[in-house]
Amino acid sequence: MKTLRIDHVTVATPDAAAAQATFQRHFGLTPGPAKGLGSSPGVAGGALVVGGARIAFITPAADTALAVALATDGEGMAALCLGVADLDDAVETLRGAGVRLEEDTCGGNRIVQIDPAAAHGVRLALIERSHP
Amino acid sequence: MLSRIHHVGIVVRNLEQAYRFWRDILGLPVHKVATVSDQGVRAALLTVGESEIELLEPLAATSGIGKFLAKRGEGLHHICFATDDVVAELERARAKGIRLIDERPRPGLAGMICFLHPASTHGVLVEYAEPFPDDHGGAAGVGGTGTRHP
Repeated sequence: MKTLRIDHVTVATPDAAAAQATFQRHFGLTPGPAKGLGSSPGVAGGALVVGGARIAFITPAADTALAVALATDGEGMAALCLGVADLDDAVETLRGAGVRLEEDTCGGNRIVQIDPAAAHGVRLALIERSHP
Repeated sequence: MLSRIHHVGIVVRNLEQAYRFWRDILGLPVHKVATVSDQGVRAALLTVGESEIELLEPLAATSGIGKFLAKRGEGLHHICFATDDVVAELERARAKGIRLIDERPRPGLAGMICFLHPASTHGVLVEYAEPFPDDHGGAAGVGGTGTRHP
């Protein structure tokens, strides 16, 4: 599998807009497009760009995995998404290794959500972007 | 200025077991491994594009990472931003009233590093790192034993 980069990190928070504003103020990061970030339903507060990656801020909808994480662990970094060169190849490799996954789409891009038990507790997604 | 995500830190029970997923399945090459005795961890940096994944295995249950593992289990731990001047960046954070964990930079696996308190950043533990000039030169300066992998 060819894993190319950190695509984005998701911060789950009760107030996505406030969290984004804090990160913008503290770290001088520039707002970027939030389209195509994550697939968890909720109220997106947008995204900030740092190098070739983005930090997405989301207030998760009730009964989603991120909402459970927010309730259990409090606000904070909740998910990681890595960019891959070829999602079909990634899926084949993961299935061949016995890793459970769910295929999904997000902002017009295909993604796979990997079982956190396989990814050492990390809510991990892989994405193949047609326009990186 | 903060130029990129240097790494995302992930707490794991055992580095060798974690390699099976992060290195062998995802294909991320191990760039650096070190034991950082004063922090009670064995850590590995795996390269992914312009960034890295840092796997952190606690050496003792009483270390910060050991306590995190006991309380939260394996998972995401912190995000580290790269800077070319960690001293200036830390001063900027102090001037903005951000609560600090480290009052001054110290050597770490990623270079000269410091941590900010998650209370100031919506629960996200943030680290700054100014990579050592010979970043690919192993873990010299962290007080541990570093090894490199191609």
